[in-house]
Amino acid sequence: MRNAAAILRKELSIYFTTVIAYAGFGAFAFIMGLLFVGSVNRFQQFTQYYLANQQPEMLERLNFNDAIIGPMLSTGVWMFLFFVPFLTMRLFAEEKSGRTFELLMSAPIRSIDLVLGKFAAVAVMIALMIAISLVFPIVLNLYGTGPDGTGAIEWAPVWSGTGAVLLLGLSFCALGMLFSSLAESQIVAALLTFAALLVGFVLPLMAARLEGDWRAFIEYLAPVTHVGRGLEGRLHLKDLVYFATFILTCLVLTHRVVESHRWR
Amino acid sequence: MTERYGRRIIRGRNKVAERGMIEVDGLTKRYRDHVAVSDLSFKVDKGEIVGFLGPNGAGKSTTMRILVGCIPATSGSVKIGGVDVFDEPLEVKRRIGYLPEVPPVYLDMTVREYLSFVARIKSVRSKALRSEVSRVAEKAGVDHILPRLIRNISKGYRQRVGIAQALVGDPELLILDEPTVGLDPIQIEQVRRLITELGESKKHTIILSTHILSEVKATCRRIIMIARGKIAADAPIAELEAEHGATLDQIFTKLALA
Repeated sequence: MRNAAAILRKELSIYFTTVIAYAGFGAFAFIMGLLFVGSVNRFQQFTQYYLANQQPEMLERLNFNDAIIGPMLSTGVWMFLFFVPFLTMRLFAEEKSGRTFELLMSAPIRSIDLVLGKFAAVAVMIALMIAISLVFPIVLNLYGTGPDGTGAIEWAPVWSGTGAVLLLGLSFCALGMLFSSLAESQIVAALLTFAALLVGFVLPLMAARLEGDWRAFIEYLAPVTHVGRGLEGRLHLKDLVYFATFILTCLVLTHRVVESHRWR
Repeated sequence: MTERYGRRIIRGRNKVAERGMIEVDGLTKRYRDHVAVSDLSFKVDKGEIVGFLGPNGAGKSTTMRILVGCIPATSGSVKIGGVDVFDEPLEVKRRIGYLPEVPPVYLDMTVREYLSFVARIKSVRSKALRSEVSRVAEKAGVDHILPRLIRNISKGYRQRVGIAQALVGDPELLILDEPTVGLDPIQIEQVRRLITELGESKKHTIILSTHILSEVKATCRRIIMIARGKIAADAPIAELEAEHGATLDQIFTKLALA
């Protein structure tokens, strides 16, 4: 485990020495900010519309969680399409093109330490990124008040939503790491990851045209489906199992790929 | 009980270590149809400095990569201090310092960060980490550039950082693949002196590859010459010269073209 910690530390130090962390966090914060402002504007329009049309019962149903945070996160998930390959592409491909892989291969460390250390590093990065988006519910809570005078934000669904998004991010990162271990160059790793994630995002759209078992099957397969319930504030065991399986499979495969270098 | 077990292994190892540091037997590496190294056998005793000589593409780097457990051999066996590289790779790797052809440095780390990282993965205790980093940096002559980003230092310094990296943990076996490539004449002299120094202590066994003949003469007493994946000669330099009645340059050309 000490070796895995050394790898983790090295990866983080490189993320934060290069522009990767700052560019990634900055761009993500900017885009989430745009989504947030958009959601807030729409919330305002709804409020005015219901007031003008004297629909107090609709007004009562309107809340920050469902009208702002939920949509913001579910749209924000699409950002993973770009940010995950950006974070994961270098993990193994850079070692190979920079010839540092030989250092790791000749050092007394096991492949499992290598894989876990690198995954932990990218997990920290994605978690920090998602943590940035927590600033928006905090802002809403500061400036808004709820119907009974308490905070405007109900926190439980925010946690479950953020948690689900984090699990999705971790799954994608594990997949990106697998592609990085397969590819010799970073560009190829990024492209493969992007393509795979795109397929993941498009799957539910494909499923919508189908019916019956196939539809259920493809919907289950699509990672995005499993975030939906979390965003609504429901954490299901089947979603957790899905993400855990996804991550574990990618880690095991990456380990096999790294190990195969020792036998070629 | 663990302690006893550990001690037993160490005692056993010492016994073998006296016999030979490296034992290579029938080593062959094949890439599909291309044979990189074919049926290599040699022994290196503890404390020896051996020059691996041969023209480019002769199989020097491939052999070294197999010795350190970077890549597996197609057939044959390698034992380092009596331990098989393929059976107990971790055990072997702990005792080797390896400088690959291209120095394995991370451009986006400072020299200090990089050497600390290497020390950590080579299981240097965290208490001794700082002093170990300063020690190897001083030996390789990079102690004055520790805070600099490796991206911003010259090729010669990167090579020296690579050498420092190989020295981390004071391994008993050093495998250096063309250690003086990219260095200026003064630095070459310093590196040669460093290698000679390490050799004089008799604690280290060193294998270095090169195709520069003056280098072997300056640092090694024994050479193993490889041509087209096979051993062309394996003898002390003086003996070779006496036997062929020629200088090392002439022998090299003769054997490489043979």
